[in-house]
Amino acid sequence: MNTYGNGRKFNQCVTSNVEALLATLTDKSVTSSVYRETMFEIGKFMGQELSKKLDPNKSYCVASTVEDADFLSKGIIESIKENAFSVYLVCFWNDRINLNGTSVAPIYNKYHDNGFESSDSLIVVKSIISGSCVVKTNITALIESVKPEKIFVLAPVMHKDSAVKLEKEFPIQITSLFNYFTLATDEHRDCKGEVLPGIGGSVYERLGFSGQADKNSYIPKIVHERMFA
Amino acid sequence: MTCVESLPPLEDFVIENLGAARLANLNNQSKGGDNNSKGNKHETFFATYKLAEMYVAHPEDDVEISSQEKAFVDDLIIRNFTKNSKQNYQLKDAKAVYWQKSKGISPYFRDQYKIDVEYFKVKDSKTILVLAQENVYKQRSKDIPNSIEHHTECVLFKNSESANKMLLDNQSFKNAVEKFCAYPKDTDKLEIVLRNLVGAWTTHNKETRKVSEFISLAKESANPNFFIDSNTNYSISSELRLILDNIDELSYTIKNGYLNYDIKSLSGIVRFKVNTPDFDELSKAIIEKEPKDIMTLLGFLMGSRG
Repeated sequence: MNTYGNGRKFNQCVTSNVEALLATLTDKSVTSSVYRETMFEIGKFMGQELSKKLDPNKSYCVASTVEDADFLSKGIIESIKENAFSVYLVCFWNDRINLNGTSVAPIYNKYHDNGFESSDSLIVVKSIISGSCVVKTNITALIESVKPEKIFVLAPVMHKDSAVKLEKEFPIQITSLFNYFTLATDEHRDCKGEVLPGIGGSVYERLGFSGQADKNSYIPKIVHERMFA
Repeated sequence: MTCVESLPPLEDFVIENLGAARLANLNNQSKGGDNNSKGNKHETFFATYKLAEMYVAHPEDDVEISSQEKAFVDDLIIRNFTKNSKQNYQLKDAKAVYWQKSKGISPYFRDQYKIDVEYFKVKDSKTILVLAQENVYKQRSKDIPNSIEHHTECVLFKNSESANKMLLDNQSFKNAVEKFCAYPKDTDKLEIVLRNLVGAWTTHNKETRKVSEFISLAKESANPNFFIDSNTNYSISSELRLILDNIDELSYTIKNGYLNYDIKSLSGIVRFKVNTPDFDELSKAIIEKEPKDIMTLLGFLMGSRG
């Protein structure tokens, strides 16, 4: 990985085009539609890279948050579907709540493709992994019904400490399945704890949602299509 | 068991029956304790586990729980006044734990038993060593000294860095918390119930309280509240029911006061209970709009705020 002055390290697979996409995310002047399209393009790239590690005879379950489903996760699914026996989607609507000083992310709504329990491996997607609370919750929910061979944890940006935090939440028999794939690792946070440069602020607002309540009442197109296919 | 208030000072009993040196040990014991983060987590998770377990096992009994008493075995003390029994727990997340070597814990267990039986007049006193490390547990289980064997046992209770990991790692612990949770198969909800129980314990563990009081405190402060609700008298209005019944493929149920819904492979929970003003407001909005299709209805149900 190369280190830059802003505390960011890029994964070796990151090309100048992908660097430009990540720079678009941190550019606060771009519109939400550009931001969404950029997330989709980043998803496609990450899916292409991930495909190199996938077995075309195996089934994969992509686990997405509601806010990422139509953009980052959709890009990943489009890239990997030709390189897998089948790709299932599970989508979570999490609330982020502070409880006695700790973040929790209860799931209030969940969509799953029929048959997702038979997946051989999980691909857990999040636009940024900082405290790892949401990713922890969603992996935990999935391993109650899926017995994965591998758990791919994908995020365009991760904070440098997030993997350690995530691994504190699971027994070793689960953490030994983790395969991380990120494009950039950031080491700085602002006074509110937001990762810098991260993905340019709160992903809800950047994607065009007015906040948590708004994103939680949204049904992604990818979910709608699958529900009524 | 005799109430503590009616007894002469414990210090008098110790000095007369065990000697001045042991009184000094007792006083030091009360000041000591494992104050590091690892030890605190171990004690907190174990206390929470026992809280949950005792409440479920003996719901009608008068049971007190404490971690602050002056005692030789003092990390956690549970007194069942109904059964006149007492359990004294010493917790260790360390490799060097011995019964009889220098700083061995056997004398503490011996004297605690004597205090329980002769001072507190307890009929059934147990001294229990709770170990976090399996190899230490195996060794100390084998060599409990004969002199304390009849009232002593070892228990394995592994430590955990997080609530989620504890639930995934320790099935007995998970089973105990499940008894309180309206969604026992959902670890995200279980974790919240566990954190509520932990919160009640860590906030009030300087006080000796009834087990039932700790549980009540946890329930009262729960938001979101996933504790099992004893009230089964929840219902929705006939107008709202008619709208829900007319949506194709929607199924719904009121579980623990919450409206749960399923449509195809999407399932969800409205964030507030049906007998609350927030739910009334949501219900009114749905009745006014009278949605005929699932997507419009889901916009209301999923967007509900707690």
